[in-house]
Amino acid sequence: MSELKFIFTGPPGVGKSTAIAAVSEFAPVVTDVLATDELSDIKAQTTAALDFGEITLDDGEKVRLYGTPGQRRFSFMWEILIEGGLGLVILVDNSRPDPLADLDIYLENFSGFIRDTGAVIGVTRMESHPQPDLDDFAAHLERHGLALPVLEVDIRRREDVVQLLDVLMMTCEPA
Amino acid sequence: MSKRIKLTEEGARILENMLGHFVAETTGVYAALVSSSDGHALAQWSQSELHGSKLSAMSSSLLALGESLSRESGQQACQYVIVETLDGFLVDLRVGERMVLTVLARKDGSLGLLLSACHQLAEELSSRIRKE
Repeated sequence: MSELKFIFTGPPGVGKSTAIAAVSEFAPVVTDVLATDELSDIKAQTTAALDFGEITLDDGEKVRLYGTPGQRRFSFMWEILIEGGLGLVILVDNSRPDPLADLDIYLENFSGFIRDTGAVIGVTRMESHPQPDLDDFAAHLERHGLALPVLEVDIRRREDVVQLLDVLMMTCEPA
Repeated sequence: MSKRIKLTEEGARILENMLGHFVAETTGVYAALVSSSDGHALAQWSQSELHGSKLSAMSSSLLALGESLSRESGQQACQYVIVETLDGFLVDLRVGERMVLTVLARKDGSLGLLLSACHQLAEELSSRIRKE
């Protein structure tokens, strides 16, 4: 039986832990530590190693969900966490100064994994920050030679996160 | 409310001196680093070349995992994360709430004495940082 494992990544503070907590059937494993840099102006804690949660599909299959730390200094954890993964959810916060540049960091660092599996982009806080819009994201991805689904999401809402996972599962080729 | 850690040059020098003294006085220890809880390098003293920023980020992750594992296992607070290799030990522990101490040692002395020395240094660093 194939192992269903998906990875959530994106910039610090975008809501990776929140997304996993919104859908996991148990209280997720978290590795929060106190933030001591500019992030601490907006958020007391940050993920230092991983988040882990689990959901069960209608057919009874378990899906394991891992969240990465957002900061590039923790990129060694990115390498560890994608092992055996079947797809990537990239969350982008539209209220940050340059969401497309944020996206590029993860497209670049996970390029091999995205090529081998698949990815979906979830854009948060679009209600208050409508630009760039979904067309801008699609055009940006096209300039990278990528055609990935881009969805507006509120990652606090379980149905939005489930939708991201549904789209990802439709996109990904099983390993 | 922001909880940034900003070490002055003087503060960093004091930490490095404390780490240097610890490395010189503790059997088998050849390097010691202080990092922020979220993996930024703050101060280090080493007898050999080390990539301090990488070790700081990894120590932050490892200690966070150790603490998470302790919680999930229903045990009490994690005191140390210890990695034993063929030729040495790596020890990670908290300094107060916002910092991590990483100590690298050869297997010249006993692990018990090493942990005791690490614990004492963490207390001294914590107390010194509170005064600064």
